[in-house]
Amino acid sequence: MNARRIRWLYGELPGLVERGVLGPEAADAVRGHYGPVPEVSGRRILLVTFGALGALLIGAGIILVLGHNWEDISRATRAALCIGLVLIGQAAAAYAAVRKPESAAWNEGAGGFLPMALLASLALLAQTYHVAGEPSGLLATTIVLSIPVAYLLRSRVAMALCWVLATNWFLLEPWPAEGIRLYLGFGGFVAACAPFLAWTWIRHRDDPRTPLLGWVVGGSLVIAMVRPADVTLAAPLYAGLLATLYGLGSGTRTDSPAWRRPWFAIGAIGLGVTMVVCGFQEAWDHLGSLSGQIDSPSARLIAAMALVLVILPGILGVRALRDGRFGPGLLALTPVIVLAAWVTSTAWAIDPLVPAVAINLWALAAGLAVCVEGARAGNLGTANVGLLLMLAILMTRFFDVDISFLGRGLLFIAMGAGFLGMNVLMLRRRREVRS
Amino acid sequence: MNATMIRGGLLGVLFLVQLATPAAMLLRQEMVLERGELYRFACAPVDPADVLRGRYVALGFEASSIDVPDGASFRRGETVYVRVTTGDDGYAVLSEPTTAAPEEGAYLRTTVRWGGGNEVRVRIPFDRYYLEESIAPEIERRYRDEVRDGVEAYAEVRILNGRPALEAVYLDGKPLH
Repeated sequence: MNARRIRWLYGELPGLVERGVLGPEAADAVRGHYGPVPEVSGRRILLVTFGALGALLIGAGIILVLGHNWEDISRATRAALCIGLVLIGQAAAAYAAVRKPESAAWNEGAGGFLPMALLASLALLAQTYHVAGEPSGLLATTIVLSIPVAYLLRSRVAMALCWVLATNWFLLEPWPAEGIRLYLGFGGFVAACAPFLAWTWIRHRDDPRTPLLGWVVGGSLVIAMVRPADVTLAAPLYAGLLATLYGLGSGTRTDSPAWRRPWFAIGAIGLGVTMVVCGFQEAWDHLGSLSGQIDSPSARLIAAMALVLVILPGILGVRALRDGRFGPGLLALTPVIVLAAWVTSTAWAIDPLVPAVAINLWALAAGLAVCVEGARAGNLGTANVGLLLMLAILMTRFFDVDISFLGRGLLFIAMGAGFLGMNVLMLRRRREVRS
Repeated sequence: MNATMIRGGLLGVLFLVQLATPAAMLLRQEMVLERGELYRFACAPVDPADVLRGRYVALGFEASSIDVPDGASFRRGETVYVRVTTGDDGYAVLSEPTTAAPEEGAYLRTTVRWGGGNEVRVRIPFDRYYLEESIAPEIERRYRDEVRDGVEAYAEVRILNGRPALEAVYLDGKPLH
């Protein structure tokens, strides 16, 4: 249990003893079991953050200074700079690993600096010898050399840097004759990082660095999805990815703040946005034929990826529905509806109004389910999220449909009143329960 | 052997690989500059729309367009090998692309940019000339305007085992910078 929760528990014990819920011996036994409250980690977090930030800024600054391409530096001096940069980074990493293995600040700082030093060194060489080619080549080499740094220094900063570089590589790499190699490359990268991410999640869930890495990974995946979505199956791909993140992130504790549940937050917000966007008729217009959409090896690989991303959260969604959790269940099953809409639109060229209406109804049902579950559990945040989703759908439809300003105004007032009313009721109920 | 020793050992191996990567790149380029055969590639006018990206001059080459027999087909992005010889005018000429490296003579390993009819365009792997950022825009503008006006321009490139190393770029007989 982390320091924050232990401190809360110890704060509750006197009141529980006073009210006769626990005896004094039981309270002592609890204190004995969890021991003293761990030292406040705020200062440690600051040290780690500033250490990592400083290392990253220094690394980036070196790249920029070298980018000036100083005229007066000979080839020999440039060669020495290249090797010297890498050696400095390696010295910092070696010191961190051998002399300060328990210091997060040192390991994160070295983990941030060494990959940047490698990238700067390769870029300087390319500049010195006028090596042509896309920057993606340099990025790929840096990533391959930096992934082991993350593992050996247990550095989340190094791992986050690798994800940022890999996403850039994936988006910048020029389209080759066979696009499959590109996807296999990114897939290989994800597989190489998976053990680190799993270890971080399982063993260090309460470490504040873990959710920060989660934000970078989740954000990188969403951004990288731009490339395959540009080829085909955009809506199902995004819905599938976001629902997968949502499903995987739902395993985190519900009493944790949103920033500690990055995949849950990215997935939930992203699914809401996806449903709103897919609720427009224009999203289903001019999709083309099904055979035309999946006519190349890379497009077929993307289609297989989309299927996996639909099935995975689908399984979680069915399980949630079986357990009576309709809100999470409907959200996790959203990719199934989106994929069905996409297939029917491309295979049978149905009226775009049909899939748009289906998505809107699905979104309203999901929003209502989330709102009701939140209200029942006394969770104001969850109830409001459900309500926000319904409001977003209704508001966007109001601007689609031709009704008068008076009509729109009255409906907005009704929605706002409903929103406020629900919040007031829930707050009152919560106060009653507490007293 | 404890965990710290194992970690230290693995770090040591990693450091060697990390150092070897830029070192290998450096040695390779130096070897080409030292022992490679020298060729002159005539520069072609650069599309004015290719504005300076970063701080280098984008170079275009006449040799990148190669005549091929009717019916020859090349896919975009396909890796090919082109033999390099010197034409009667003293400038480098590239032969029809093949899928295997020639057994003798200088050649370049490159990729197909575009192919159609009896012409194929290949990527020239030395199409950037890096300069100090304060002078690059002026030099790029001068290079682009003068080449378009027909001023003679060429790049001196050394080639060894399919790898090129750009030595210098000349405009009207004088080094670009």
